[in-house]
Amino acid sequence: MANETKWSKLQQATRVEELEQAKTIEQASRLWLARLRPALLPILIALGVLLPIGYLLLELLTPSVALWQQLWGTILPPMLRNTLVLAIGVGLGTLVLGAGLAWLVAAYEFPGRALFERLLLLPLAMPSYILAFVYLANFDFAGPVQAAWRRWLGPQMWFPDIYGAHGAILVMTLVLYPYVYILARAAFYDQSAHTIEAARMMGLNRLQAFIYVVLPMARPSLAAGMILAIMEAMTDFATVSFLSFPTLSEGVVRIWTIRMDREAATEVASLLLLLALILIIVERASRREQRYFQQHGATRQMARIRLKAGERWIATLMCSVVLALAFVLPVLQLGWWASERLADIPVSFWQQVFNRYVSNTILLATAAASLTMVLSLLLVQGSRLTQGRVARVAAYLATLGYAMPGAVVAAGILILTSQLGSIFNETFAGWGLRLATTGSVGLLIYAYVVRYMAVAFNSVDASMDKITPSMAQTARTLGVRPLGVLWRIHLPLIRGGVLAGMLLVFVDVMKELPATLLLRPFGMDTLAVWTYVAAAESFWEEAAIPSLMILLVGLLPVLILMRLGDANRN
Amino acid sequence: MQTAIEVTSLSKLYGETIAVADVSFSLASGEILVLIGPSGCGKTTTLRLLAGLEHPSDGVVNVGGQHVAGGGVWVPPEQRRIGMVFQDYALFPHLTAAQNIAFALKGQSFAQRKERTRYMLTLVELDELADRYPHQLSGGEQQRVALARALAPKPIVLLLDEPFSNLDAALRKSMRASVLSILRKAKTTAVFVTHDQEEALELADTVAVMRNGRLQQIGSPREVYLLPTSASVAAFLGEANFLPGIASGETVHCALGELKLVSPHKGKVRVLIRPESLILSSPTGISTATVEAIRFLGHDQLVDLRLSSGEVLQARVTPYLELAQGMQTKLSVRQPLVAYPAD
Repeated sequence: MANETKWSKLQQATRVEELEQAKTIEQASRLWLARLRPALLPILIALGVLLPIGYLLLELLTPSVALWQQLWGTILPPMLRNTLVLAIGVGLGTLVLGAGLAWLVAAYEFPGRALFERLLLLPLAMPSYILAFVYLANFDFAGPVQAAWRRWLGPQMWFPDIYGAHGAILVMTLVLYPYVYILARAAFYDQSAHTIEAARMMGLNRLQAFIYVVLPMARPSLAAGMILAIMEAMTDFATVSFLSFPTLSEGVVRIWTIRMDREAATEVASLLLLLALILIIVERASRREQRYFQQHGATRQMARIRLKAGERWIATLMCSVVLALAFVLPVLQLGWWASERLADIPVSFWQQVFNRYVSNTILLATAAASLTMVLSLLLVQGSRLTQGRVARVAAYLATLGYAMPGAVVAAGILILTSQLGSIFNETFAGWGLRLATTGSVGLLIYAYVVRYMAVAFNSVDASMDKITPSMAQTARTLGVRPLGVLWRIHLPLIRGGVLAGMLLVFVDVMKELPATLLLRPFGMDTLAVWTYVAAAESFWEEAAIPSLMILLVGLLPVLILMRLGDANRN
Repeated sequence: MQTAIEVTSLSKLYGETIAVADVSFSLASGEILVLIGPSGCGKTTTLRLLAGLEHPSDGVVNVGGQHVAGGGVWVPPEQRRIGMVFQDYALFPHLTAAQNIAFALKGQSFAQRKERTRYMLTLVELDELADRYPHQLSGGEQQRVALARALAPKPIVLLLDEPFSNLDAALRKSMRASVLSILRKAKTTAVFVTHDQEEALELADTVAVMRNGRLQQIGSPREVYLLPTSASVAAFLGEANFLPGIASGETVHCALGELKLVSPHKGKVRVLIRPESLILSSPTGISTATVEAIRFLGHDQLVDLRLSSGEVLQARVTPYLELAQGMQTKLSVRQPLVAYPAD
């Protein structure tokens, strides 16, 4: 009896406590800012990222009819068609090449397999516009290959044209297939040997097992990799510009910078944004599926098949050809060009180069990488520690920029700031204040942050996965205070992720072109801009110098990726 | 004997749900207590209340004579001098085995820390693996590092939450023996949590059986297994037959005849008969039973026996006894027996 009253009293006490809490929550919810306080930073960051994109979306919803009619009657249809052709072509190309190579290295044993497995990632370091101008220089009408061709086979002999759709698709497929390759390889390795053995017990031969079991199980990963490659193709500006295959992305930059027609460029950018949004939806769906299709920690991996003597060397040859076309030969060509050019360059030129391009690039990339990482840490902390839905959604929205073509982000930022600027200037007209709304370093870094937030965020977020709640609790029972836990457990464990994330953003910024071209203030030339300007005027030897610098720095994250792939296998 | 930990009417409520209800026990220094119960019985919550990872709704916790929780007192986990080994070991992946063990050794000179770390490594027999990182260690080695790390700062009490559940069956047995010998060597006071009855009986000086947040019985392994205070404790700790009967004081009348009881009862009861307390082919057997099914397990065999009254009892007998289905056998039982009022 006494016990009964004790329990009801205790329950009453907790109920009172809960009511008190409910009351304070209710009070707090009136001040919604207070309720969202832990998620406030993520929300603000998400708003900052979404603002330019949202502004452009508004543009799409309130189109100027006359302008649209004019655009649809003239330049828009070919650009839209080219964009779709490029997307489909690159999608299929990377799928076949990426999945094929991944299956080759995952399932078969041939000379050099272990080496190729890693080396096939190298094209990741090669920006497509660099490969494009190397191909252009060698394969266009005046280039050495066609000249030799005509000399041997007569002047009328047909030669495939490097310009246009197939050139663009070929070049982009060669550098973008690693996106599919990485995910496909992981998916193949994750498949347990038991699955395939079960299929074979049920009467399927090896090829049938591949078609009916292996491929369907890897499908979501293949789709995700393909979509990433298509996103890259859609954001590209310089490759299609070199190869005369105008796409929407190329159109935005060209119309804006050459025809100086802001309104038309904005409309084209908003159409491109629409395509990007569709891609995001498809990608999200395939990612979700991926989680169900892939069980990690396969019990036993399939044993590789030893190929017969002839087949073995064919496999080796296939990997070598891809690697040679996408990376080795172009790098040799660039090295040849650069050494020719360097032979007759005085030292003073290098000082100029360093002052102008290298220091600009380092400045921009470092600033963007640091800012992106600081914001990512706040996002991760917000979404992990509060564990709230609001913060998680905010983090997701804040990282959407990875799917946005650089031209879209830049156009969004430009019209947003010009609107804000004109409002500001009208308001403060009498005060003698004016806000400049052309390109500036600040806006450029803003664009980089929007574009590459996901890169930094995912890197930090992944490193947080290693930290379990029981680690922090253990540290507490071992006599460490909460702040000490942060210092001694969390910080050392995410350090690698932070550095890797910053490196990735640094490299991405270094290679970036469309947003840089649209937003850079006069004279703010990066290595990528130098490459573009030189190559656009067919100064191949000169373009080779910044290209090699970009390649060299770009190799760092690829090397990390190779090591990561090895570590995951163990 | 000094009291290492003392818990008085400890309770924890989550809203209306009672997770831990009125749990009291005390543990002498060097003693090993095992909290056992089905999942969701509140055993892990009890452990976390001791560690200071949860705030109690009611009750008092004393550690080493110091009042650490309850009655308006709250000492955070880092000041309680309690060590804890988690189910997933929670080793710090960025530190080597030696660095993990030295993690908590602050406020000591470098030489002292080094000495203590080396001592702990020797105690858990990992001297050679001191510079390995956790991912380079096997499951059993990781567990020994976690144990050494928790013991290094000489905690008053060590808490272990299902420490063997991540190991495979073969390793689990040998790890149990080696952990027990380490704890004995270090003269550690420990509280284990487990749902495995064999593990509980092997490790414990004292077993505490929990169910629905309450302590059902606390006593030595022999006590809780042979003299369970309720039918549910009896069933949880091992195989149990319950035979209906009518008690009259010191004896009970049931299908096996007139049997002696441990404590006097009156009226309808259920008598607990452990499978190993049945004796087959016994010359003094009074009742006859038919062999219905045999499961031969090597170290013993489990035999289903149908009594002439219709009830089926399970018996555990030596493997050397040759039995066949349908065979008739004489049956007797070790006495005295435990009985519970029938409901």
